[in-house]
Amino acid sequence: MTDSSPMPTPSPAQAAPRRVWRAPEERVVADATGAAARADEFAPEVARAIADLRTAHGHSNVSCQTEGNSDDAINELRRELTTSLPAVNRRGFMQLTGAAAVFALAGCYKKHPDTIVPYAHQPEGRTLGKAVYFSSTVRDAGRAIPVMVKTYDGRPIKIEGNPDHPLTRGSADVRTQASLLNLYDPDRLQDGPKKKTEQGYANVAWSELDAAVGAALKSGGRIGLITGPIDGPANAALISAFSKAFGGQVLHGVHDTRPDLAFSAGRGALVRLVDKAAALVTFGGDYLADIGLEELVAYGDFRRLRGVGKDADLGQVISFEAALSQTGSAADLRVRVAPDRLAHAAWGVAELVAKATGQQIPAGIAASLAKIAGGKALGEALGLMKIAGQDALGFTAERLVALKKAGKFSLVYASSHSTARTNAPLLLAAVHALNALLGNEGVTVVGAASDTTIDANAVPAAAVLAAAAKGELGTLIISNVNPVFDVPGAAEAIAKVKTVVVLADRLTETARVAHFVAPTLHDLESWGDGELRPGVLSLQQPCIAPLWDARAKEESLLAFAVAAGVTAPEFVQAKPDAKEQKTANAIASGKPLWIAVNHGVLSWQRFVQRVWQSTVKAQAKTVADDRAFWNSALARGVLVVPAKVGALSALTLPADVALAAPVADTELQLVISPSRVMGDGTWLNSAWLQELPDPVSKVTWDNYLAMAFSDIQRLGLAPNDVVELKLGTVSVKLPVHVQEGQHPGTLQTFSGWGRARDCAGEIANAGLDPNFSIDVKPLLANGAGGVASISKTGATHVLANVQGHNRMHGRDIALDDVLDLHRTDAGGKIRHAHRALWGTGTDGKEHGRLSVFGKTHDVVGHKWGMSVDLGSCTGCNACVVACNAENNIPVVGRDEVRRGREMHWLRIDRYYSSAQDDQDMLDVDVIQQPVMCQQCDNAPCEEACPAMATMHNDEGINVMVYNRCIGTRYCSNNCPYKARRFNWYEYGKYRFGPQGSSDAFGRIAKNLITGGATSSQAELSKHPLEMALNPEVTVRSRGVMEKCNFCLQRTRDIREREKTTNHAIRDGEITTACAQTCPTKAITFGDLNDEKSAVNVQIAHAHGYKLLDSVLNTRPAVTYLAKIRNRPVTAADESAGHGDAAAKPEGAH
Amino acid sequence: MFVSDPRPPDATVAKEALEGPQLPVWLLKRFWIFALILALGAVSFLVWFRGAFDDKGYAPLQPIAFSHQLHAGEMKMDCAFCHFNAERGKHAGVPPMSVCLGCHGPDKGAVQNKSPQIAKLLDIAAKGSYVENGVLHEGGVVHWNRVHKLPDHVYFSHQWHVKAGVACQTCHGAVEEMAVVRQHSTLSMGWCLDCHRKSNYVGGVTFDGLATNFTVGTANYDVVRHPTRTPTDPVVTFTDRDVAGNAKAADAHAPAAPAAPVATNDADKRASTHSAFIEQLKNNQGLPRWRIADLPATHQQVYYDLYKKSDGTLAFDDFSKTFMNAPTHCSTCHQ
Repeated sequence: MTDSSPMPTPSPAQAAPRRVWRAPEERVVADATGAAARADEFAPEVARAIADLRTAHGHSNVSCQTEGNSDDAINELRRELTTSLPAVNRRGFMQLTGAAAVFALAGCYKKHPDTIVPYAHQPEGRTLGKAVYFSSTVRDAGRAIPVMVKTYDGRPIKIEGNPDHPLTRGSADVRTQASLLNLYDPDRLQDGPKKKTEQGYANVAWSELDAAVGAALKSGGRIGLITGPIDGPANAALISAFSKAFGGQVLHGVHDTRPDLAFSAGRGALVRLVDKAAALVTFGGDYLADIGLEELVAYGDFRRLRGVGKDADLGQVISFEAALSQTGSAADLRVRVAPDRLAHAAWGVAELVAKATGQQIPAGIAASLAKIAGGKALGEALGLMKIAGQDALGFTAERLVALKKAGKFSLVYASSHSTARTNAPLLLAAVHALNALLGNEGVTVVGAASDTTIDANAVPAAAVLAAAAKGELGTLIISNVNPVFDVPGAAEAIAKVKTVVVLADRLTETARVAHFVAPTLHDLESWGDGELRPGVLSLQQPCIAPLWDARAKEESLLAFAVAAGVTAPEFVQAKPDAKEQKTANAIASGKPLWIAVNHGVLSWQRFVQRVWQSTVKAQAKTVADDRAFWNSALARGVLVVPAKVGALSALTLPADVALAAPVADTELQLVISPSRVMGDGTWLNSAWLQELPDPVSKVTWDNYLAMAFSDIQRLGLAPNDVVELKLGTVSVKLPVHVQEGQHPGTLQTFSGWGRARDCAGEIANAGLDPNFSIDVKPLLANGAGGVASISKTGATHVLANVQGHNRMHGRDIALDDVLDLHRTDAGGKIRHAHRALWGTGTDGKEHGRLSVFGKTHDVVGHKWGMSVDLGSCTGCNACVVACNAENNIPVVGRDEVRRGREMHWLRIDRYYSSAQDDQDMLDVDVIQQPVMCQQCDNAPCEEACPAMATMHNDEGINVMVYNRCIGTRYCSNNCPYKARRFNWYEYGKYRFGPQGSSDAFGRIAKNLITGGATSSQAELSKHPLEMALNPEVTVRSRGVMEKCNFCLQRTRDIREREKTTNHAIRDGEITTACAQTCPTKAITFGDLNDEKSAVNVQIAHAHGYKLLDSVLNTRPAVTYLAKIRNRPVTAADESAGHGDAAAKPEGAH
Repeated sequence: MFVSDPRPPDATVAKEALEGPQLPVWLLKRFWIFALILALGAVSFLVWFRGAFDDKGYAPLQPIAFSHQLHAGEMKMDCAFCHFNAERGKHAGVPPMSVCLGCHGPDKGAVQNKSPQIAKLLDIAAKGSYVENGVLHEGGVVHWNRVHKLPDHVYFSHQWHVKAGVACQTCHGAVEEMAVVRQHSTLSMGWCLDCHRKSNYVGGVTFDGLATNFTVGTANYDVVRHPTRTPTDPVVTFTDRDVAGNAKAADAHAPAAPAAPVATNDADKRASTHSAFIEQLKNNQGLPRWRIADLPATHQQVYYDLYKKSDGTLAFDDFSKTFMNAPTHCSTCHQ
């Protein structure tokens, strides 16, 4: 349109016709008043009215912009506009056209028939439409995570942490949340046991399998048994009974893939108690990604700001590392060290601490350190940055010694990954020496030995594989672990065993070298128990009948033993229990399930029950009868019994070992870390996890090679280039990702990716690319140090990264402050940076919070709000997966993520900031900021929607009415937070991915189909992923906008109780999925109108702020608490602006 | 040069040239036909339009020709005897098969089990599955055809409406007169709002009962206050209703003072309460629904736990008005 196009002469008669567009002839009629008006093409009446007002009332000072206008002028303008505008406005027009569309479409309408299938016997206390929670346990890499499983009509739909557990306190981590999808994974073995033949795998009957394995076990020879970590009294009892039954012939190996295991350095299982420390110092590794859930919860306590004003304090994290890790991004002080120099740095700190405390470190190491330092400070010789003008190693040592002198403790951590492999033992020795020197052993590092969990005869799985390779084993049973994928060379060793039986839920790499494969049940389908810490037990109970023809892995062991002629009472149930038989048959309900009691085998359920009613009950010292004890333990899911804490084994330091000289700076050193999202690769077939952004790089769906920007330039590479990475004689191809904060010369990639085709499933197959292999495990086979070389292949692979802008460019988005400044002036810097811009008009006068919006939402009753503590957020993504599960959020696939169409309602933004002269972004400050819909009181989206599809409800939540939405996406354009997501496709229905996509996402598609009959278990089993849907949440269709609504359905659920009982709900009773699961409790949700609510306590903090509120006046319901960094104040900190103000151009990488 | 128009002079053409296009003469003469077609079209369109967007009147045939007319009308069984879930949760629900078999089961009442429809029902229960129209239906239950269906995005709770004293018939019509159940109301949003506008209950605990209007989005609604309801007590206590939706008179069978919940493992006490209960049953032959207050104390305890108020206080006096319904029919446990 042209601004000069004149308007018709305004008059009441002409204003009357209800028309929204100008007719052609109107465009040529000259008019003097109109020429001056800013015309709106769609509503000329607005401009006309303004012009009228100006002439009629002499408002020559009234502009179309609210800033600078006085209250009265605005109100008058608003009133006049309301009365003078003709009746058809934008909304009216949309209503009319909408009605026209309805006429056109009405003929297509058809009644869809549907069926209702009632219960045969409705269980007592069960109400239709009300969820039932069961306590249970799921395992991630062998860790027993206690959970509460939300079930609807017998289907688990959501996993939450068990709030009764003293260590996890209701939290659940990423993979625990995502294990729900694994339950319904159609790639699990569905049709019973398999036997390897020359043509492949043939189905066999369970009895045939048992007979064959029983015969092999009986035939003599040693029996190898490889399992995951064994904990929990029943699990331990089963293994010892199995060993006993075969008279010492059993060689039990534990295959443990937990990344923090290396920390133990052969000293048995260790427990770290970071919540008892005042400082955490890490040398490589990735503390936050390596540790278990319960330690992450403790980390939350450690990092939460305690006290106010001068008393404010929080734990300090100092991180020495080469590649930017999750820990490094959360750390207060991050010191870049080349991978092979980590050991030197650690010993350097140890030497200084030893000196200060009058102790000694091994002479050989001290000598080699002195040689490397060459008279200078060691940190300087190693090329480390300075902290507050002081050598980084000296600063760290001083800090640690000061804590020790003050009677406080610290925790020093390292892991063998992310360091040069040859230096790993020395690095771990240094860390243990440091903990010993500082008196941390027995306080923050304790032994985990317990009477119930340890199988005294267990050996590492490597020993079993070694025995197999020597041909010492007659039979090898591998239970639910995947050594062929994890351990290079395992396949060859296993091939030497005569009979190999693999218990697995799918045809894994290990199952493919087996003679027999016995399908196993998911944790939510079977019984069991676990012990997360000595004495803290959890029970595992099935929450759904087995979906397919499979059997608990433990029950398979029992059945094999019985088939081998074992008659011990732990294995045999001589007299079939009629009631048990009836129940089991009912569960099987026509499916070809193997039922233990029908075969004279003691069922695993009964086994667990017996152990708990005898051993555990005795430990618990309860007076309850067996039945009451069992029922209450099941209901609660958690039981704490007194347990002996094991002593730490004595620390032996290497006496005369010299540290190797550092590798030259020009060499490229490779470190391979476990994937922060995927873990050990067991979960690779989970679409939720595949689409989850890495906490640091924000890359989804792919493994990559992280490199420093300077290295990319030096080698003539570009981001997303596929390079050939060569370590010794082995090479793999990987796409390149530029990683801020990466030490130059360091290459980082991740294990856990690249399961072989069809070994994990269809989703994992989608990650396979013919151009390159993302499995970096072959590199691990090469023990030859970490010096690697790379070369360009010419191919490119665009990584699907969800974050386009990594820096704030001086804007106040994710705020931080330094502890010392916070102590003197808690809100100072933030208040300064966030002065109330909106309050002052352009005329310089205070006008309060003027608003163009006609109404503010002053809610009586409940008003929901949230606070997010950026200080304790680790970016772990648990909230994102919880949100996915709770709100039926579709997975869109790699191609759609590349287009920026990911659907996550809650994302975690990660920003880098750095000193102004740090052009390569090497020493970066990182901040993680979860962003969900801010539920603005002055919501810009609501004003833009022509269809009233988004609006406020009576509890202050900005809600979406999906079936009003016509997909204009105006709301999304108007949202300053990018909190809104648009359904470009009916993600629930398309079978082969979006147009132009070669990825086969039929699997994801099935996840979200809701139509059709879902009347019987058997039918559902064919489309299992439907069953994971939360029935309380609408599945959105194509062309519809969606966003976070503070888990409205959870609010409703509790409010229903409030209404029916007519009693007010308590604070904390309602919580959102993200706040519920957050391991560090960074998110708090509650009622803002309840003065005593936890969220109000959080919001009251002086370092709280509302995102973009000061510039946009959106009045969000979410308050962020600035991240407080516990480090010395620098000059840049004291200036008001951010160090990031003169930002490097974004296009630089 | 002058070339004459070859066409003969025509009045219509001339008229058209002067006055614009004309309707054909035959149509002008029979204009009433034109009007009639238009009128018929308009009427049929309106008739179609009224019903095009709702399923009012939808009445599918069911696998078992269950008659509400017989059960609720003639036998005067309470709606909530079978649809017990309506007063407990969002969904009214279809009763579990055990409720049907509670009366018709061969080992229970064996009521009318010579009827072909009942025979079919028993057959389904016995065989565990049946085939209808070539489709296998599993689970040993009847797969009923759904009559009422709200869109996925609608949040509707039966419990709240039952608690507020809305009769089932208000929305579902006189089901007790329907041999084949049909949808009585449109179940459209306008229909919901109409009713909510007429009552004073607008939802949400935030409504203080004193407001004279309320807002949904930008639409304002006036509150028309119900004459018998007090503004400060928006939640009405449970009203016992007959099938017509009228409040019943106080039940003569109701115990004067409900027994306090006794948590006990004492076998003697249990036996004595149980025998008292058996006596009570004998005296009240034909009770369609058991009052929870009529139960032995140990059974009451279960419900006490279920209905315990959030602040931990007793809700036990409610039990004289709350019914233990079909799923906890004695035979469910005491087979």
